[in-house]
Amino acid sequence: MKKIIVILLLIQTLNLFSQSNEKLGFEIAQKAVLMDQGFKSLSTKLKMTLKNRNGQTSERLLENKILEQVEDGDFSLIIFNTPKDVKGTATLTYTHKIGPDDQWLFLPAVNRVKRISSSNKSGPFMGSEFSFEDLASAELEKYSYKFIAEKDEFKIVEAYPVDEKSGYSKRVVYYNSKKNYRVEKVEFYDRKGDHLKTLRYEKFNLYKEKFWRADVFIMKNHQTNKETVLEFSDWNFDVNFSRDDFTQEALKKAGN
Amino acid sequence: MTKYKINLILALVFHLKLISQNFNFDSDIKISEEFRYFFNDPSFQGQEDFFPSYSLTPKFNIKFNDNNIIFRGFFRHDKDIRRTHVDLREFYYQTSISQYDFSIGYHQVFWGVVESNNLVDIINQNDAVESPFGNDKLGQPLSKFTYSSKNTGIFSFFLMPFHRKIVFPGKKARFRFPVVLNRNFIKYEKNNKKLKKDFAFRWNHYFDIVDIGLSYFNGNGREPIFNRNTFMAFYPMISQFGLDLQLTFETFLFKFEGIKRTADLQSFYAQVVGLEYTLNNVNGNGLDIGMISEYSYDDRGALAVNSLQNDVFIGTRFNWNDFSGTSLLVGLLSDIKYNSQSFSCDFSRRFKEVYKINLEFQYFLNIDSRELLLPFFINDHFFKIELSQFF
Repeated sequence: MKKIIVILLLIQTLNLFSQSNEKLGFEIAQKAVLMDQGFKSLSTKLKMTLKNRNGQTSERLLENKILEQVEDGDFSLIIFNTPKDVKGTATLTYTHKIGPDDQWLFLPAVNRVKRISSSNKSGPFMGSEFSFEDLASAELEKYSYKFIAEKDEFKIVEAYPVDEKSGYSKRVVYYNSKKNYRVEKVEFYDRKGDHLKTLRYEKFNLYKEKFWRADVFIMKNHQTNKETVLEFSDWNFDVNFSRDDFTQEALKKAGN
Repeated sequence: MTKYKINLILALVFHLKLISQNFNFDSDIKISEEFRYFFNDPSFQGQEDFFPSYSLTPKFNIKFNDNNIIFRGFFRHDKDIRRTHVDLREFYYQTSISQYDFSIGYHQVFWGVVESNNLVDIINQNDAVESPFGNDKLGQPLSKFTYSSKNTGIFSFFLMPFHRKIVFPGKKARFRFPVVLNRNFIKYEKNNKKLKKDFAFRWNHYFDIVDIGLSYFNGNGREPIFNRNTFMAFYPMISQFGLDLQLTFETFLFKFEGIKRTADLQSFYAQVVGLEYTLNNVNGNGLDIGMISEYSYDDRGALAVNSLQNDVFIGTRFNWNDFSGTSLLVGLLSDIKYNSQSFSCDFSRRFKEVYKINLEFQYFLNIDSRELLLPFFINDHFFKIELSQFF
């Protein structure tokens, strides 16, 4: 009888312990999101460099426009400038905190705007090591969390995707608690639980005395040895977009 | 007074400075070499089998503040003199004031949601010599006024002062009739000199998973009415209502396009219903496989100019999402009522960043003699290879 009580107590405490780790994990992720709130509008340019196993590289140039939303997910426009055969191709996305995002694609050769399914989470973005979900806006509601450990200034949290279509079983996220909880490293684990990719953020700058942004994202695929590097430039937090800058008409204009 | 003038000059100088600060010029050119080979003997005298050809697509845009000038030209040289042609695909000026947008010039306008038969798409004339069944369209001169809002959608008004006629292939070309027709073969219903201007309106918006477009067109039809017995044809005065609809259920898309076209001689209803399902990342390496099935119906029956009066299109699209943007579309178009069937295949892939290869294959498995125009093309199966370089 005593033994049973001890075991029950033990389970109870373990349970409490894990519960509090989940709560702590969520709080850290939430802190990171809250600290980054209020940037309102942002436009950047980016260069994507794809490296294959043999070290051959290929470059793509893109532009990105974001309008922050508080109630629901952010709006974004991505415009492709190279490769030249797809120049002017652009996407418009209304991210949702819950449920699939709304997404449109503009094809300049035929001047056509197409509503596309946003449920392709795990597929690669333009042949890169980034999947669509890696580049989607980081909404808190898209994961459940668990605090794992604390190493120096880093708080390490595991994030488990809510969406079954995600290509990951978990992401291990390194938050820097001394720098507004900015994310400096993410490890991705595939559906089988194997370590698939690692994303490192480098060359941070502080904008508007509040928002940390990395100029360089390095995504390394451990299973294929391929790598993709994103280099951001021309950060502009003063663009002052409105919701009407994110219509299908605006999408067409962005691509033309 | 002088002070006022100085202020004005200063203001102008400041304005010019602003313009030059936001001035942006960008230009590109695409050069393509194309070979088309028709592997059956021709149906009519003078037609040839092998068509080497090249085309140029120069492009530039000038942006200053909220003003744009867009230019996209097209030139092709071909064995067929009619296919040797030049066109202003786009050349327009556009200016915006907040949500209002005005533009004037040559435009390419696309409406619709389906893949095999875009019924609602009516602004531009088809570039029939460029691709008899393809997506190429002639630039349409027009002025356009648009109001767009995230909450109420996009309202567009079009005024088109000139109508563009279909260009028919020349003597050496395939996809022609027994006699070589010239542009003036098809007359207008209304006297040429009193040509009525064309007008169009469209509203499109989205609600959650629903994308909807309502359109209206009034003026000279783009599609001629053919008289099968006299083989005479003319562009009728029409008015057309169109509806296009897409429901996006995650990987499953439902599509609809319907039109009601009214003319003195011929009024009809036509529709396309389609389903599209995509399997994402099939091989764990990014391969998407999309399955498309679309059913076209047209009241005109055998008189439907595009012969899609009771037809099913079944297609599979492979998208590798790789380094080279490799894609393949395989399709089968079958007539339910008549015994006609055609197979098509389209492959493209980029290489060395600035080159692109495009392969196309079309084969008529059978053409029913009761069809309106298709029997003339019964021997026009072809294989095409196109190599493009981008500068």
